[in-house]
Amino acid sequence: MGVTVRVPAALRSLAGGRAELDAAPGPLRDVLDAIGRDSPALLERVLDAGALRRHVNVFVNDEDVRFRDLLDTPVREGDRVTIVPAIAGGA
Amino acid sequence: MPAAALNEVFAHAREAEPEECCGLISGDDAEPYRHVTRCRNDMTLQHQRDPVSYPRDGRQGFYMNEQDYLRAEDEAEARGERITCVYHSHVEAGAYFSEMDQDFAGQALFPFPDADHLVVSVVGGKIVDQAIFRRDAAGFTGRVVVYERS
Repeated sequence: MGVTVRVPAALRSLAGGRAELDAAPGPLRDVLDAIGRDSPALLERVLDAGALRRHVNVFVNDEDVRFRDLLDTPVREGDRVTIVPAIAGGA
Repeated sequence: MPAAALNEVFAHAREAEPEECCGLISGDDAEPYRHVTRCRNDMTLQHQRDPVSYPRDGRQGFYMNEQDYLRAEDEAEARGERITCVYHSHVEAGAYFSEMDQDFAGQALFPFPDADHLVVSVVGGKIVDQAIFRRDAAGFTGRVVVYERS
């Protein structure tokens, strides 16, 4: 079954137009590395010098990895990883 | 912009006050501002979790709930629409496109790079101004919102 990585519409052109990618379970770092081998341009937009870029969030199921173990967050069989650029602002 | 869409945004802004509201508008070429989807403003939650990265709370900022905006994007896609406008309110402040607004909207990964940005000003619980901004070669250019009565 593996792990499903959901790619938001705005980033799909960097993943060959695909909305979802498959990867093997493991620490999030390994999952993203696998995605990077398949779609290097996508990974480049997510990571900067090996860390999550500012304004880019990654969720494992419904949990923001910034509030778990960042790239060490475990991703298990059947989990869903979602890459989500932040939308924010204010007065 | 159709009055129906604008009135829905105004209602959301008034209900969210004293916090900022945020949401998305979707449509197609024939009717670009057809469907308004309210999203939760998680800025107060982000501030409570990480006050260093998020020094403001929801009264002076918005952070669009990710699940809400992904769902809005999926639903728009299912209707054959795209996200055409990102809206939010400013409370006790004008309808300008702030540095923080530009910082997020100008990021390379901003999910809706071609969308307009509607900013609504709420002062004393009332809508007092609104403006729409769009990215062009010079940055973000603002203009007055024109009502289209339907």
